[in-house]
Amino acid sequence: MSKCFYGRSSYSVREFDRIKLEDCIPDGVKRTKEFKHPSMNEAQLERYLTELSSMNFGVGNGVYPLGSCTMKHNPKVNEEVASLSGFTNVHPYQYPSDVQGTLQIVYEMQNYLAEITGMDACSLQPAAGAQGEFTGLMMIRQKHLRDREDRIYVLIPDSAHGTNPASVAFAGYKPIEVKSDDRGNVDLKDLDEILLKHEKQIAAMMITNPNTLGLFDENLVEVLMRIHDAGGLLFYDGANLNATMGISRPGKDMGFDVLQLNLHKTFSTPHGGGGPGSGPVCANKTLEDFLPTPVVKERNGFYYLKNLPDSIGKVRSFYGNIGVVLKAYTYIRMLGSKGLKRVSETAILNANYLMQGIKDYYDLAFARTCKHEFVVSDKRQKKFGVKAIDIAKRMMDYGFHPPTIYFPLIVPGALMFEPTETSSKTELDKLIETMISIAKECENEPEKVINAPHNLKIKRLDEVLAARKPVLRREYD
Amino acid sequence: MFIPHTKEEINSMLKAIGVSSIEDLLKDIPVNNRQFFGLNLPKSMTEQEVKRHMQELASKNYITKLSFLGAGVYYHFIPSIINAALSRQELLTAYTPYQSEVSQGTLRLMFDFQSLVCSLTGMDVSNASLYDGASAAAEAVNIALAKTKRKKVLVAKSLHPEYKKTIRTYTQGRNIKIEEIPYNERGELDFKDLEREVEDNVAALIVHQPNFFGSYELDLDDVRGITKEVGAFLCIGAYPISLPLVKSPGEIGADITFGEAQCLGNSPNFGGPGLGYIATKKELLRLLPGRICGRTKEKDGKNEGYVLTIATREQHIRREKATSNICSNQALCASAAAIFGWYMGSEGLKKLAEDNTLKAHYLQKEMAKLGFELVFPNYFNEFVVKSPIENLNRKLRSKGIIGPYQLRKSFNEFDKNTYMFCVTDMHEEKDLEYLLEVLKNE
Repeated sequence: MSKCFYGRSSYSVREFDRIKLEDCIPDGVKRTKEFKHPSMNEAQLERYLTELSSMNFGVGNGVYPLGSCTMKHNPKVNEEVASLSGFTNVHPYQYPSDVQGTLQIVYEMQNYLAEITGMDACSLQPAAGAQGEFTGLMMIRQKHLRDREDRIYVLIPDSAHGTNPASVAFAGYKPIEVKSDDRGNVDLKDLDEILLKHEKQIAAMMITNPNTLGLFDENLVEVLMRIHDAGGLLFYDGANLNATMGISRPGKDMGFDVLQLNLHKTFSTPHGGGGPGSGPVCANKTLEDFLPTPVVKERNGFYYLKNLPDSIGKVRSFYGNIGVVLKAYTYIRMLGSKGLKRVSETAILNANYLMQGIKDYYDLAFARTCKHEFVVSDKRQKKFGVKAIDIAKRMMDYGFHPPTIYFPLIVPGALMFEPTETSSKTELDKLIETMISIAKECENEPEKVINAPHNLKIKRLDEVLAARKPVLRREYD
Repeated sequence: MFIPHTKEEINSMLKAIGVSSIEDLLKDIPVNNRQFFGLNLPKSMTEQEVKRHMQELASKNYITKLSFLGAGVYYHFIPSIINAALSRQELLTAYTPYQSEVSQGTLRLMFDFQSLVCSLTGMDVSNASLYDGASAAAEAVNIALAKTKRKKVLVAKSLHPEYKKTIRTYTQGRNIKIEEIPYNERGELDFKDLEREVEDNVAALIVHQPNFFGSYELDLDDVRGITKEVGAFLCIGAYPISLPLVKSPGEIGADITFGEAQCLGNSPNFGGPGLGYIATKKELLRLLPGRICGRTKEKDGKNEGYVLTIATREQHIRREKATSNICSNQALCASAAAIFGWYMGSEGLKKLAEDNTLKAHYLQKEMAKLGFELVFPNYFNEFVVKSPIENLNRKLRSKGIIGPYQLRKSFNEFDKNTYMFCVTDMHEEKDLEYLLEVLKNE
């Protein structure tokens, strides 16, 4: 659709004639260039949006095993309650007495998330996981500043998500990569070498556990102890929390000092095509003073905002992605402790079942029991000229969303599967069948896979052209 | 609750894996890392129970059409088609459109959002959204710092207090000096002070149009002259609703524009999720943070399609060398804004802007007759006044009105009777008359 439409808006406004427009806009700020933007009448707009949605694959279309993203079913009740006007129409600067409903939810949510993660305090302020990572690192920085310690390095495993080193750089630290060993754990030898070299300058280590290979680090106790002994602090990337609830709390059970969560992953809020998410931060006693300000406190049944004097400040405006928090809150209230544990257990069961089903056809990166996700590679298929991206595209022809591809970087040609707990056995059996089918196609009819997808409204797109000759907006006549 | 498995299925799956219980799958977790008792959370609820609970909580919040709060979060018209379309699970539950062939819906809406931002702001390129206006301001600062390699940033004192705080947090630990430029008696940037502070060690000037006080900056062309001379970036934040009437950052020649676009088709939601936007001149494209959507063609077909592009800026490719650490954007909110743009078109957006400013000016002039002295003369839809009535907000609240923002909350140079009233298209004439009636009788 490259034709532009003008003047078709359905919008109407009641004329307000109590004052003249000329009296309202000083000459110095009037536009000199005409503002143009196309419009569609509501009927055409609905047809346009309906067509767009038909070209999108959501969690409701089928299994969406995107590793690291936890694409679980988004309960419909979440949407219904989050859209109550009592929640959508409150302004952040209203009197606390006028927003007791929302403040109560924020307060309780702070407590629930601290409990689930085994921490002492929580802030819902960060807008997403990446912002939460940045927040945690700034809190660590503040702590060391207060203790008059000059530490410049943050250690990150080589399997880490890209936001980790990016957040480290953003926070003014230098990242140092730590290798993984042949069991997929943090390599203790490599860690010791780094500690020897930089001990007193290490601010922190950032770890996801289970890691991006879906593996629980067997040396976790050792790793954390060494960092703590060197005077460093430990940041937990909570992206994989779906494997831990009721099983192992990052704070009290694993030993981390601060973490960020992704409500849009673990806690069932919809991904929205890429956001909005929400990245709350939880901390233990060592770091709780530095949480972003304000937090919600309660006294005699009254909820109010409290500024934290030693806070790192604000990482965004107002108090957090409350519209998203509401949905996660609803989810936690429905599931309760037992429900959340079942979620993690079933996520682990589903991943292992899927792994079992396809491991004879795809090269398994690490031959270990996985947790909620696992990684295979295109190693076996490569000799037929088929790559991970081709396999991913072919899966779409079969009605499945592809897994995460080419991540983590330490597994070349990686395919990371995370079926989540909401995929049924029947669906997993179908997925296994599909993967086996594709593996056979790679052997016998590789062209079919290399040129996939065939059955969608659109064929593979030229990404090279898009980057070489960027067209990033509609051009107007 | 959302787990479809029967007991039989679980057993058959365990058998296929070769274990006898789920505990067996947790054996590699060191005992010291295990939690063996339950989480201390309230008992689980049924769907009916949680709905009722949430309704009760929602009713504890006070909402009314008679709200005169603005200050960065606004009540504007939201066409019903937005929620209707975005309730479709295909658009609502999909993730980041990395696999473009199954994400054309999302990608197309991101492209539409980028187009909307560019036409409103007059800039060349926009990204597919940031978290909110405050972090967008911080990202604008980041671009300027990265490109100029300078260490000083000038920020208008009249910038939103939440934005100023966020910029400070983002620049901690990188040895950056932030200097505030005061405002004059007309609420505009103090030119003399600006001239004094702008030197060749300044990376950027951050200013907003209109500013936090709702006031217009009348001399941004001259400001541009000053910053251009020393090679500092001029970053002009904008209130999207005002842009159809107001000279855009692009017309002024800004290097970067940023801001909060919640006002375009999104509810206040107690301040979050917001919808940050950032747009620049085309020379700065490679420094833009976050996702960008581009139009392209099928590899061996004729059809057009959309993809995420120029990803070499982003964290998943460049990692610590990325332009920012941002991963997710505010896609759903940006989709709402894009749909809003289509629904309104330029003719609708112009009418909307006019409606806002007419109503605000009418109210202000009538309030002046009641002794409310206007503090800053030129404004869009928010104006600052000195109230002759003490404890104004308490009195208004007793009549069901959510009163204006008290400036002393974040600017202690104002006395406790100085307020900022916001009027929007959502106010009907009768709402304004009611307020005037209440004020008259105090």
